[in-house]
Amino acid sequence: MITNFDKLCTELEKQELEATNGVASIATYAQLLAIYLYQNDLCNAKFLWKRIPQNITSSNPELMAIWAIGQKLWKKDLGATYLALSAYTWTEPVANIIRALEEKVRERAFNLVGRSYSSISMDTVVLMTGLSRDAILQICRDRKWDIHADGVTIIPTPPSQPAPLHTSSEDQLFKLTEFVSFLEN
Amino acid sequence: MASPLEQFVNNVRTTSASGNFRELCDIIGKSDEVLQRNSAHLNTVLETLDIQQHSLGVLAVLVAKFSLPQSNPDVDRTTMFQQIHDFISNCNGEQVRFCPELYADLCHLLTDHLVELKQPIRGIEILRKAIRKIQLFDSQLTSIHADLCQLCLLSKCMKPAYEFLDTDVTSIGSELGGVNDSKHFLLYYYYGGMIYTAMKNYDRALYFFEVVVTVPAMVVSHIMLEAYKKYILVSLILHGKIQPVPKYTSQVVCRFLKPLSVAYHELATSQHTAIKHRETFVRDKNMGLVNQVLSSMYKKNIQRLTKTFLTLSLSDVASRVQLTGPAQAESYILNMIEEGEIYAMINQKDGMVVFLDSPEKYASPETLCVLEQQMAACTKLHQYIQEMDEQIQVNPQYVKKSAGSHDEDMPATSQNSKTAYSM
Repeated sequence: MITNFDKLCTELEKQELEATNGVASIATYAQLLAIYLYQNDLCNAKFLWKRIPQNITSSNPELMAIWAIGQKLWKKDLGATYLALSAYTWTEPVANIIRALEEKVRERAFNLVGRSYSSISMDTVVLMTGLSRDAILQICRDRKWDIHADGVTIIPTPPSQPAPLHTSSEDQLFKLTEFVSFLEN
Repeated sequence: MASPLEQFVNNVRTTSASGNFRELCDIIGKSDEVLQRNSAHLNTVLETLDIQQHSLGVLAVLVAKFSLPQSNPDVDRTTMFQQIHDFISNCNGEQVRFCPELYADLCHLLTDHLVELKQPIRGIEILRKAIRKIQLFDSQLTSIHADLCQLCLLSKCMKPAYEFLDTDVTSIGSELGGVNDSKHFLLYYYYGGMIYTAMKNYDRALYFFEVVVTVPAMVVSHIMLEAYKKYILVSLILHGKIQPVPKYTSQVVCRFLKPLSVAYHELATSQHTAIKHRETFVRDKNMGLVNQVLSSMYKKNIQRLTKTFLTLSLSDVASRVQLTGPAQAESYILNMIEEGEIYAMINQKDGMVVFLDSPEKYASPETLCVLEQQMAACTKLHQYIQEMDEQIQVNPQYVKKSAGSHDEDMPATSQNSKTAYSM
């Protein structure tokens, strides 16, 4: 599944700016809106929705469904987001982006839970991730989160930090010499 | 006998061919009336001139044609967009750089036209190309920047303006100032601040509004007043208090702008002013920002709690910050953790929150990277200032002044030395 939509995003933006009479095609708008949601760029998504002409938005249920997801994400209502994601049967090529979006939202939710909760109830996790209890139990085992004896609460651990980026020592030497020469002068 | 218009065309042709563009600029400056009087024939003139070779001539004709009043029957505005688009895409950048005011005028006419037509989004690509053509380097500010920001705001398409807003300005184009005063400079920073506020980049927005407010001024400008009001609101959202304006702000700000924005100052002290002065805020179109200020107050209160408490129950948080209940407190804190505004761990089973210190130890490679970037930025800034200093030192006016004051000292010292000898 393609997950890098950045190039597609720049192309679609260009199409919108160069469209005749300032109005682009429905496919352009739909894909661009979905990509902004995937990139978690809610401000740009909101403004895109505002500038799509009224007649296009009201006649196109898919566009309205995509924006419904955006609204839930803006309000940070995760439970309703999953409902909105599955409420509509998506058409290609938007469906591809929506699938990636759903996974990303879920991933973010799990990371957030890991970072912020020292103990959380199963029901809240079900709400935040839109998964069934068994699926969540499976993921807890994968992430090595403990489940309390009463089977209700989970004790998450914070996600591990990614490996730090490595600059070559030549680069660092070069930077050091620049700083020292600047300070000497 | 050749009519003045034909003379003009011939002049354009000959001077363009000889490459004498400065002279051509003077001729164009004097031919303004000629072109306006012969509005009916301007289209034929355009056909005889070539965009690439006679860019300056075509530019002059276009500006004259579209600055004529709307009622003039000879001017056909339906092709205006297409003609200006073709010109900007194909014109010779080096030629038009001799006459930047005309070039900027053309862009201003295009912006006004599109705003009237209510199709601002079409102008964005063209203005971007226009700016790139006339800029000598990336960080030069032109008056077209303000137009681009205006179109972006009106069409609600903010992304294209970013590449210009994010580069810090190091030099100002020659057509700014002079006849236009500071309008386009102020507008660029005002619109830029609004774009950043819309994108929730409050830090940079505050900086932009501060630039507008700190412009040296002897009289108040409406743009400065509006920017000052937004400066207060963004400062409240970002810092929870009104950041005082820098010391180098001109006196007009304190004397005139503060009394005119009383409602905004009161907002810092009490939240009820939002309801009391609702009409003022709605009239200034700042109600959306005011609402954001109110919701940011909750966040600031929660942050203040971290300074006093190590752990707190969710219901206590809700009562101290005046939220509706522990569930709302939990969702607020969760959102703040996600945004990185607070470090805490929620224990849902016990309904408690533990406030943590920032886990940042400042010892990682990422910190080193950030440090290196900041140092490189400082070095670059130092270089710029040195260059500007050198430019001023060789400026003839400065040399005359500093040498002049030196001369005044000279006779006195020679007299002193004479008296010393006579002794």
